Order: sequence, then structure tokens, then C-alpha cells
Amino acid sequence: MPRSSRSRSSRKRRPAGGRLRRVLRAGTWTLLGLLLAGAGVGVLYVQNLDREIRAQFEGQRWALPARVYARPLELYPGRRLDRERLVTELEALNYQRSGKGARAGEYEVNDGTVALTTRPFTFGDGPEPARSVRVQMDRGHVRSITDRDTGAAVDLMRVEPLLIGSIYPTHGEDRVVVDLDEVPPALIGALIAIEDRRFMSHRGVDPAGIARAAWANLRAGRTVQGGSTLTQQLVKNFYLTREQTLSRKLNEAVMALILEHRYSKEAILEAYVNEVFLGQAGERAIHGFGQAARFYYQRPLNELRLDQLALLVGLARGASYYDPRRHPERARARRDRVLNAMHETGLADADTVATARGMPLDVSPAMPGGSRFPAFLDLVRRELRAEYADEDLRSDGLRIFTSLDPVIQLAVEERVREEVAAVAPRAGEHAEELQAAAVVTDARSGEVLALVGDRNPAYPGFNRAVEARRQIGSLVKPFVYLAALTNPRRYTLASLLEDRPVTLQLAHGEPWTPRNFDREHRGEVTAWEALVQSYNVPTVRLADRIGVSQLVDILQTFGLQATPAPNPSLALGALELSPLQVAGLYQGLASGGYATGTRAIRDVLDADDEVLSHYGLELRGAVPDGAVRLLGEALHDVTVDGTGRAIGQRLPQRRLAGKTGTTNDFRDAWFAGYDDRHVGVVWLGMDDNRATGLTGGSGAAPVWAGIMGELPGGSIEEGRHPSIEYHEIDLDSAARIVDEDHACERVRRLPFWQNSAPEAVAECEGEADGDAAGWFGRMFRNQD
Amino acid sequence: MMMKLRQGEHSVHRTPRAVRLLAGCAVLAILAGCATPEPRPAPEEPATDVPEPEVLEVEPGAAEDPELAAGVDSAASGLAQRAEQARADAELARAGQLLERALRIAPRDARLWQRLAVVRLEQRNFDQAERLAQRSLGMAGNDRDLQRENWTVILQAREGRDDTEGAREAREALRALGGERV
Repeated sequence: MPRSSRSRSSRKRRPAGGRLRRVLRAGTWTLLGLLLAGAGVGVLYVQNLDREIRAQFEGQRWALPARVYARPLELYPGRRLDRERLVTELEALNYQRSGKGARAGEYEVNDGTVALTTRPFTFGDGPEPARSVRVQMDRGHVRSITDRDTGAAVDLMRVEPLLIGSIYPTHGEDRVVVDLDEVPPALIGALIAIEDRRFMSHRGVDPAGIARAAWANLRAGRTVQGGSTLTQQLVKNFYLTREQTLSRKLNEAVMALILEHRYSKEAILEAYVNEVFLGQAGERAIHGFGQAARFYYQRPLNELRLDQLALLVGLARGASYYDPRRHPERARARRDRVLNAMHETGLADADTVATARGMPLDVSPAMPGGSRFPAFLDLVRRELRAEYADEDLRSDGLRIFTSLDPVIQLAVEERVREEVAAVAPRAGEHAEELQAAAVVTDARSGEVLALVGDRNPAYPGFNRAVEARRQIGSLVKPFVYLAALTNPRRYTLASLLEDRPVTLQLAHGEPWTPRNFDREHRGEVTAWEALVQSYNVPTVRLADRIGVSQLVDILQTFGLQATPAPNPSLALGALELSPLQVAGLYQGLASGGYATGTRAIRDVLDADDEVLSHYGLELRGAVPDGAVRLLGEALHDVTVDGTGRAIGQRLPQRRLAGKTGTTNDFRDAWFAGYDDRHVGVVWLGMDDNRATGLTGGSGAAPVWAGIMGELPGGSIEEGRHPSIEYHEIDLDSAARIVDEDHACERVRRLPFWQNSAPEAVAECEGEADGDAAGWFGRMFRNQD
Repeated sequence: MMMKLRQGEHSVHRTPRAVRLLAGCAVLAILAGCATPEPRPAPEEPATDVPEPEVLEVEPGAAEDPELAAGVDSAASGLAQRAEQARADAELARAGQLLERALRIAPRDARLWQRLAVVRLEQRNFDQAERLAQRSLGMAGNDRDLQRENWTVILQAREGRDDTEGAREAREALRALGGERV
């Protein structure tokens, strides 16, 4: 045992030193043990953090909101579009009017030519490249489109669609993820210059930086500088809570080291630019520079100027403290500091910085992202809910393409505001409470182009266009007549209907005596008059003759989902529908008898641009278009001679068709109708079902005319149907007029389908029918 | 031309052209409504599924200006060509999307409706295939090739649904149109 003897001898020589050594040795062993244990714990600790980091960094990093887009504007020669509408669209997309319109997101107007440069965009059917074009416009049409780079003619192109809303993650984080190569180098440079100059060289923690910050803070007596590296800031944002404890600081430093060890500087920067918190709007937190660019400037990041980039970089230090909307002076000072830092580090020369410092803040006053078109977005959410779980909508970064036409929507909103304000005083003492809803759909496809659910269209409350179920009144009558007209051997527009008091049995056996609006009875009237003047009694009698179940059938062919009891009162609209459902029914009339139903969504794409759902054109039932055409002619007459004549007076140059609806005690005022490519429905009423004092003709028709006057539609077709011919008809006898020299008082030229014109020839001689004519006769005497 | 299905089955009997034309008109008058204003026996019940011919018209406003109409036409036909390519690549969903886009531009182009009907047929959506073909037929005017192509789609859709009686009627209509392919 040489060792022990040696120790013993040494103890002899230096007894005090020996004790110390013994203590030291024990201490060393303890320390070693502790160190080992500590290292073990440390390894576990680091492993744990490492796992956490990798899970976050390599998994799906962020919950991304779903984005909802309007329809893209299609541009092609021959398209009906005027300059104002094109400019409205570009302005909505926040295009800047500039000298040349040569940069993405810029446009310029020169007489009939609009020069513009679009942004690239990926749609459900593939990518659309950015284009720089000249669009030549003339008399309401696109004449030609020329590529500015090649001079080639462009047959067809799309402008990127307007973002109309987002469905945010439950935690409220809103971001647009950008790749590092999409981020302007100046932004990265500015970020490094102001936040972490040694970012490219340190290993996650920067002792020199900490020392410098500590010194600066000591001198100032308060915290003026942070010593955190970008990596530490990312860790702080990414993984940790906001609490300020020592253990958190330690975690942060260790995690920063691990992050740097595992990932490249580029990957860390990319995560940073997408994670950093840059603003708040209510519940919504703006994260990352991609979304911040849209939030503050309504433009994509790559279109921002140097001063704008500097402002965003400045916000990384404290987005609410430097909020440019609330604290413009602070924001400006911060921006200028960033610009100076860029100059100091050689990123920008003195002139560039001076110019940038001279720029105004010019952040957009409105905070985009709130629902700009609340009623339409509500409809989109309803349609999505049928197929998508709420969580997927909130987190998977879906892109939802809708049919909303923002130019039409804006025009409809403006008309609703103004026209409703104009008719409201007629609703008497409760004029202020008069409410409104409006729907515009595409006549062929049933796609919803515009939707207004409140008299104040921007108000995100009760969406009357979708949720309000109200009696439709006389809006149902066209379907009664259509059911009859599909059988031209028995019914034509000249069929005489009895207009004498009648009492029918309702389902529960109670008697029902319908009355005409004016309480008069006219003996016999043609079907045409009964429809155009909206007489109740002859309509009820007609429905009774053809069978109310026929009416139910035809309504269902046109898309009615419910199966109402076949009560005779159904013929007068004892049926509660929303304005959108009414638009669905009328769409079939507008498209020549082909029902499609209404749709607001075209495609849903996932974050990788794969189409998850496509809501395509779907044809439902069909009704012979000859019968629909006859009906259309009568519905046109409604807008000229009938209950909707306010429309013809306002838009005399257009051939429009539609029907008024007024329910008992003036509770609801409706107008539903169409031009050659749009269906429009307007409803006015009180939420609590009180009387409005308005009829469909006096209340809803003017609003409808105001809306249709703004749409890029034309006139419904006239004549030119192979199996329709026109005949002059004496309305009193419903007989044909063959002699030009007739003495008939009330004559009308009516269309007949499949040779169904009456064979009887009118004999209007002398004064035979003179007294029966009355006011009605005077009204039509000079018609043809 | 577009219809590749059943191409091998060429009928051999040849009837004189005039006879075929007459027969064609007669059958059409019953099944689709012929483009002549002949009276036809109207059903007692309102018909709900047989469309009538619609007048073929170009985009209103463009009508008075052939240059505008040509622009609309070329935008839509460019998309139709891309749809055809997608179809050839067996990307039927994309083909459908492109044709719907074309129809938004030129909703009265009967041929576009027919092409979409073919895509739906290939997607085995027989119900929509027939309805779209009927829609196209309603706008086809006197274009006998297009009528034939539509009836071929209708026939195949009905066969796909095992609607023997409907298929027989479609075959008759095709025969009347001189549809040698059946």
C-alpha cells in the first residue's frame, strides 16, 4: 500500500495541509459527483429543450388563418367594363396611381387607356403570372389589351383577387408567411443593424452585446438597450412565456445556443421575420413582416419603400409603444433611428437615408382585415361550416375563393344606403328603424355577386339577406302563372280569369276570402293583367284550377328546399323565405328556366394550393324556356305598366323584368327581378314585423332600380324565339284583333308560345265595352 | 370529334339524306322541340325536365360589334383549349374548372356547355352530364353536329344510369340526326 504510507508520511510532515487535502479530496469527489449528476440533469434538460425546439421548428410552425378572396377580375377584349369600374377595382386592391403604372401594384389612366401591372397569384386552376399591360377601353367595353414588355395582344388575363376577410386562429394570431428570399434584403439588413449587429457571427448569445447593453443601461439609469440576439428574441417569442425570471433567462440562452447549433442562420432569420409580433387590432395579433406590410400599408412586403421597411423593423422592439397609428411621433423617431443604423452599417448612403427620413409615415388609416363585407362573409362561413371543421378553418391556412364582385358590392352598398334613406321617411314615425337587405346574383350560374344584410351595409350584425325569413307575398305569383303557361294548350297570357269574390278552405278547414289590394273586383281579367297588376283574386282562382301542388312542384324545381302545405294561400305568398332564397327562385326565371341554386364559394385550396373543394356549376331542374319567356315578357311589363313602374321611369333605356311583393299590413316590401345577367332582390321591413307603410312598388322598387342602374347589365331578350309569336289582343274579350281599324278600347300586343294564340277574333264595334274600360282602359289605350 | 367513347360502333345502314333530315326533325320535335314553330302535343302536366330551344345569341352589347364578339370568343376558346388539354391529361376536375371559367365569359356558347357535359360524363356524374347536354341542346340552334354530340352524351349518361328506356329514346334521336356512331 504505497499510497497510504505516503499519505501517512505527508500527514506527519504537514499535518494542517493534510487535513485540507482530505477536505479538498472529499470536496472534489463530491463536486465531481455533483457535476456528473448535474451533467446528467443538464443533458436531460438540454435534450428536453432540444426536443421542444425541434417539435416547434420542424412541425407545422404556425396556425394560419383562412383567407377569403373575392372573384378575380377577368380582363379580355370584348368584356363589358368601363374605366371607372376598373379603377374602382384597382383602388380596392390598393394599387397606387403613379406616372407609368409599370411596377407591380401600380396603375395609370390616360384617356381611354389604363396601364397597370398586376401581382402574380395562384388560383385553383393554376398560377397567373404578373403582367404589365395597357388596357384600352371604349364605350363601356375593353377594346384591346397589350403586353407592355412584348407588345403582344393579350387574349385573357386575371387581376389578383381582393382579400375580403380572414378566419383567424382562436389565439388571434394573424400572419402571412413569407420565405426568406421574398423578404427585401434591405429589411434583413435593417433588422440586423438595429437589433443584432453580430448576428451573422455569434452563436446564439452575444456576451459583447450584453455587456454593451448593460453599460448603456447603467449609464442611462434605465433600460435603453436590450442585449438579446435575434435568436434569443425568436426563442422568447416562440417558446416562452412573457414572465421575467432567472430560470426563463437561462432557458432562453440555452435554447438560443441549441437553435444556432441545429439550424442555419437563414432558417433562424426566416422564422424570426414570420414570428415577430408587430401589431394588434382588437383580438387580432399581427405577427411577421408579411402581414405587417398589409396591416400598415395594405401592400405586399416586396412593394414597400425603404422608409416603410425601416418603420416595420422599428416595430420589432415594441409594436404597441411605437404604433404608428396611435403614436406617430414615436414611430417616426424609431423609424429614423433604424435608417441611421442602416447608414452607420453602410447599408444605405447619406442621400438615401435623408430622402427616406423625409417621407411621411403614410400608414393606411383603416386597419384592413376586419370584415369589410360582413354579410357576404357571414354567408361564406355558413357555406364552409357544412364541410369544414372550425379548427381547420382557423389554422390550416386555407384559401377560399368566392364569387363576390367587389365593384358590384360597393355599388350596391352605396345604393342601399342612399335609396333606403330616401324612401324611409314614408315609413312614418319609425322611419329610422326601417331595415333592408339586398342580394345580387349571376343569372346564369347563381353565383352571389353582392350581399347586403343591413341598411348600414358595413354593420356586422343580423344578416337579413340570409337569416331573415319573411313572407314573400306576391313574389310567388310568377310561379303560379309559369305553372299555367307551361301548358300552352290550356293557358296563355290572354286566358281570362275570374275576378269575383271567392271563398276557399284552408288546411284546418277555416274559410278564406282573398281580396285584391284595392278591394275592387273586375269581373274577368286576362292572366297578363292579373299578373302585371298583381291582382290577388284571379291568381288564387288560377292556382286553385291548376292545383296548388303544381305550384309547390314548380317552386321546388326552382330550388325551394321546403315542402309547404298546398294551402290556397300559398298562391299569395304565404311562405317565409330569406332574400337569398328568393334570389335562388328568380335565378331560374332569369336564366330561361334553368335553376342552379345560389353559391358564394368557388374553390377551397389548402396551403399548398391543392384544391380541397370545388363548388361547381350545377344545373337543377328545368322548365321549358318558351313558357319562361312569356312570363319574362309579362314581368317586363310589370316594370313599365304595372306595380313596378317606378323602375321603367327610372331606367327607361333598359328592358328589365321583375315582381313586386307586399305583405299584409305593409310588413314587407319586396322587389325581385333581373336583367340579362343579374338577379336582384330587395327587401324592406321592420325587424319586429311592424307595418312600414311601404309597398313593394313604392318602397322596394325604387331601391331595386337604383341598384340595377349601377350594374354592368343590359336588357332582357325580346322576341326572337322560334316558337313564340305576337298578336294584338283585346284585353276585354281576350280575342285577337285582325282588323287594323278596330274600335277596341284596351289593346295589348302579347306573346304566344307554340301557336297558342286565341282563335276568336275581337269584335269591338260601337260602345259595347265602353263602360267596362274605366281607368284601366285609359291607361292602356295608347300602348301599341 | 370530341366524343371518343363508342367510336367503334359505326352503323352501316344508309338512308337517303332527305329522309334522314325529315326523320330528324320529327324526332327532335318530340324530344327537344324542333327549331320550327310547329305545334306539338303539349303535355297536360307542366313539363319540368325537357328544355326548349333557346335562341343562340352572342353577348349583348358585343352583338352590334363583331370585333368585341371576337374578343369574347377568343378568351373563352383559349380556356376551352386548356380544358381540352387538362382532359387529355386526365385532369378532369381542372378541365371542369376551366370550362366553368369559360362559361362565365361566354355563357351563351352552346359548345362550351357541351364540353362541360362531356367532362361530367367522364367524371361519371351522369345526372349533370345529361342536364348540361340538354342545356347545350337548347342553345344549339340548327347545328346538327352539336345536336348529335349532345345526344351522344345524353345517351351515354342514360346508359350509365341504367335508364334503358331513356337510352332507347336518345338512340332514336341520334338515329334521326344521322348519328352513325350509335
